[in-house]
Amino acid sequence: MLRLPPFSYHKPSSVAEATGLMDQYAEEAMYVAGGTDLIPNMKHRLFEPTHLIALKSVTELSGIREENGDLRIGSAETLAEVAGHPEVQKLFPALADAAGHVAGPQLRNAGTIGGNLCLDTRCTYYNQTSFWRGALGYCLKKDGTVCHVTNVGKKCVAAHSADTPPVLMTLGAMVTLAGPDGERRLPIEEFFITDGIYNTRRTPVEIVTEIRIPLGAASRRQAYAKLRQRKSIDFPLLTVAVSADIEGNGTVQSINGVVTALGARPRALSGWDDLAVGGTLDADMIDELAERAHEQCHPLENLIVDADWRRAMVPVYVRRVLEKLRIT
Amino acid sequence: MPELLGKDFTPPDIRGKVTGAAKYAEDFRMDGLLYCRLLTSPMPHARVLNIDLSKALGMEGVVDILTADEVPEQPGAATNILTNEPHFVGEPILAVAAVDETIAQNAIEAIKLDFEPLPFCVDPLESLRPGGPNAYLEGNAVVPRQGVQEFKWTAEDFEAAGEGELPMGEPTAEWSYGDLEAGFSEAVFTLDETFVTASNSHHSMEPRTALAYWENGKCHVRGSTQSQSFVVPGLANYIGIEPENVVYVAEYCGGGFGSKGSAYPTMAIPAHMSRKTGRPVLMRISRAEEYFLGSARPGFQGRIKMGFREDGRISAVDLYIVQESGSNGGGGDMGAAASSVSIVYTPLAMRYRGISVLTNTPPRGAQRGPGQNQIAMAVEPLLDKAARQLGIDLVAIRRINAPTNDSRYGANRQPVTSAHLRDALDIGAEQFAWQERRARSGQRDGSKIRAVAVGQAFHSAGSSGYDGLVRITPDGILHIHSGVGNLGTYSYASTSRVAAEVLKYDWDNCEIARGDSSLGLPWNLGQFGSNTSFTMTRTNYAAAMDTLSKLKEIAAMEFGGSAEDYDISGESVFNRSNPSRRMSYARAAQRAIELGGAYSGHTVPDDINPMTARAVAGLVDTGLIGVARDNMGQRGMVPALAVGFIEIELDVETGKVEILDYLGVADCGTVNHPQGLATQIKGGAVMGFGMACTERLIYDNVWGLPGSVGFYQAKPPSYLDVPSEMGWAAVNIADPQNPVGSKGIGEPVMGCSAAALLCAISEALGGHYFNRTPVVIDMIVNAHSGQPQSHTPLQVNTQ
Repeated sequence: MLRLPPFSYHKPSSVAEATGLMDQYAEEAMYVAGGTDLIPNMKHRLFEPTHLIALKSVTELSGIREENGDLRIGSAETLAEVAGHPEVQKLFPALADAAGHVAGPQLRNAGTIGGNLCLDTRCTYYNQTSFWRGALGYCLKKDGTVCHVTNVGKKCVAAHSADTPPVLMTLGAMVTLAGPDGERRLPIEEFFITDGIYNTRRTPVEIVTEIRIPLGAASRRQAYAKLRQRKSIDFPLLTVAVSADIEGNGTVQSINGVVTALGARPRALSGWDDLAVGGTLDADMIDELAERAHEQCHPLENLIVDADWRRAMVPVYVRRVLEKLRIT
Repeated sequence: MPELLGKDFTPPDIRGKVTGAAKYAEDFRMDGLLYCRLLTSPMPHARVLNIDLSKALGMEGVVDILTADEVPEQPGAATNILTNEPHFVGEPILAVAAVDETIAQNAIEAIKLDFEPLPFCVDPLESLRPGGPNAYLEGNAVVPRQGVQEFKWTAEDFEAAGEGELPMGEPTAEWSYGDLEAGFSEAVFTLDETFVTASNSHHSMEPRTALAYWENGKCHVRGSTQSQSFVVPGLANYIGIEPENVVYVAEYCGGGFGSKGSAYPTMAIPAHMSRKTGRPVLMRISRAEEYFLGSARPGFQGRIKMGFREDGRISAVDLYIVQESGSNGGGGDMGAAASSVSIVYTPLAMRYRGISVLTNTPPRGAQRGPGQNQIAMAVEPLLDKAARQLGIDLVAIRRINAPTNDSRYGANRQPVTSAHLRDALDIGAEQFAWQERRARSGQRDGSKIRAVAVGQAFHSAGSSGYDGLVRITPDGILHIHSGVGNLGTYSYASTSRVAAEVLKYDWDNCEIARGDSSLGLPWNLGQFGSNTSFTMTRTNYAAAMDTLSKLKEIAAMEFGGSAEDYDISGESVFNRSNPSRRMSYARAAQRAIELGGAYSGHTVPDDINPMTARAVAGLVDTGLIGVARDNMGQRGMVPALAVGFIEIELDVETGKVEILDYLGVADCGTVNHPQGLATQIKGGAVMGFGMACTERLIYDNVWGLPGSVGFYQAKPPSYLDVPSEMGWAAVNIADPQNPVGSKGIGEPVMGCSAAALLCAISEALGGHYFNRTPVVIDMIVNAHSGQPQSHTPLQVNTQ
């Protein structure tokens, strides 16, 4: 059997208690919420914390409610709860859609939205047993010095593979982090960095406590699509999220697009505003926006699928989410 | 009119499965149990130079270590129990026993091994090239009667093949019948296609765990196998003892799909470790390990030339298969594939050539429809290609080539027991509204194209000559002793009902003795090869008929007259002329004990297997014993034939395929257990969909490291990838060589669904033939958009 490395399990009931425990055990500890990402990774010896600080009993991390002009989603809310929550479905249907497409029902019942934000990057050469990785001399992201995807360089290209962040980015969501030194809040697009080894600005001692989506974003048209080989279980090979402010006469006031699963962080699509803002989202514009997305996406062979095909799917999926946007 | 056969019932093992009470091999615990873990090879081919066990042996809780030098070495390319020359990544080198699994694993990690890397190969064709790498130091091919030999083709052989065509050097296997040249001359349309079918894992839900202990000179093993009695001789051989000294328990099996039909090397490791330590030993196999050592279907690099007459009749077939046989020589897939072509399409002339090439990849073995299902995927879309060319309906071209009861099979032109593929096609075409649906096949709605297609497959599905054993105890209960095993299809139970039917028993008064050789189980063939329905109905019939004779004889002794004067009803035997002269089965069982001799198992027929004789010996004087070898005779091969009808929607922009509807139709003789058959047809279809479109082994060509080492990477279909409702039907025509008309069916119901899906994909793409399976989504996009595929035509281990 793949065994978990031995660890002590702590079950704090408050954020302060949790960060206090983290302070106490410093680099030996990790937070765990649903555990659907961390526990398999621990079995693969990708992480070997000797202390796990569980967050599911921390009541401050629960709750989905309107608060101070935002929809506030506690980070320990499960993906199933987010997907099925009436308020989320009504205000931010693309988020409900994205959360409802993560893995399968069992994993959505355990995995949390905070965990989805903090999902470790994935790669063919990384998400393997210690035995497998050792047979290859390990890799740049863990225990080795060579990236088997690029074979050159010192930059890890493991793919960001979470479903909800692209949607949250198009909605202008904020992430709140709490650590031993207090709380800070940052826009979700600043939460991710391009380092495949450790791709968020969350420091190991910090907890993602909540996600706040401005209620004003609820008026935006939203759409989400996910490419994967099978309709369940599989991580995305490509995720596309878009949102737009479109006037009653069809004039686009603003538009955002985000793609992910290609590189180490979600990519906010650029070069759309000059074309779309002030125009109408008709077939020609959709084709041009999709082509502009295509030009800026270059997936690598970090997952076991043909990278050229994944790239070819970018304009197809971007076009499809934009078409959804047009009819919503 | 049968009372039990042809009707649904609740098999006795279901309650345990749904309540969790069922005990699989890893559910057993014993006092003093040791846990065993394996140190496996990180290299595809290497020699162990030095092993430093000192640190591991010094660890608290570590009890002992078993090395390759302490277990019997296996001949030729057969997989060793443990080895100092691993031939694939993940091959066990040594085993550690400790008081718990964590300590055992920690000890494994504390062992230092020095390896000498050896040349390796993951592509059969590369190995066949002059100077190409060999999987074994001795060579690269398993040559019949010669073992592992170096076998190379010439540079000219490779040069003779056109671009992207399979070179065809000297084969190691070959047969033919008919006038091939005349057949091709007669053809108005000829195809010559090279194809590749990828290997794919069995990924059984239950990994191959085993527990063993020794008691009074006997080795008790609890294992995970499809079969029961058939496992024992092989297991005894691996342990190095006589079969009568093995007590084998395998009441449940969480899936084997061919990989657990017989004994396999790792299941002997706890037995050897237990003998060494004097304590019971459990060895659990992890999911990841299961992918390394749990067997896989051999892949093919093949080429087929088919000649068609104007009416669609296949006049000639010339087939060449290079079989990727992994580290152990694989199974007989390539020959089975050729024989399958001979019966499904009944070509007027045919030649088959093949060569089995060793690679440094997991051991290969039979997987549901071994050979037949690979070739169904390669050939069925070609049949459609010919049909389109000749302007013939896709069902019609299959009908015209389909076998009948007079058809012949394989190299030896064996007769068949019954073949009703045409009936299956007709039933399916009607139930699926073939003509109506075909009218909309090819219609496009946006990026989506609808397609309707049909696929066929075959497996030889039945055997004879095995033993039946039943027993009536003085409490009136009928005990049906079944040594066949329980691979999960409930056929052990449905075939047992034949004995109850013959003896006109109320099923509630029957018990099936199974799953534990100490219960006295007869020698039966294993649960594989779709044979159980045919084979076990015969053995249980034979035993029941012996019981019936004995019942009548006992009654005649009691009431006078001869046995022929007696009949049975209501679990009693009575005199036809004077029904008041009636003896209950319970009373007859008591009389059998008093009479002794053959009636209560003191003597047994001369022709039964020693294992059956030992089983009876353990049951002497417990009741009326019915035991007999199936001597009913069998002329010819028993064909299981299946057809799948499918409707899909293919998105040409994304390559995604949505299966809208599926209907499977079986020619399995008389339907014995409708619910079991429905489950086989639908479950087989799901496996077939995976084999056709997502499942494959991948190997890194530089390191020999496998990429498909978990459910996630191996990609069996998920529940959303298949229709939630699927249809099924059966021809339901009795096989004349089975006393209740039964034939098997488990394997072709997978191949026909895979073939149907691939045919539908080709249909949606205007008849494009992929020359490769699985057809993954990027291949579909490339084919539709005219982009080159990311693989070369004969490449293996592609993404």
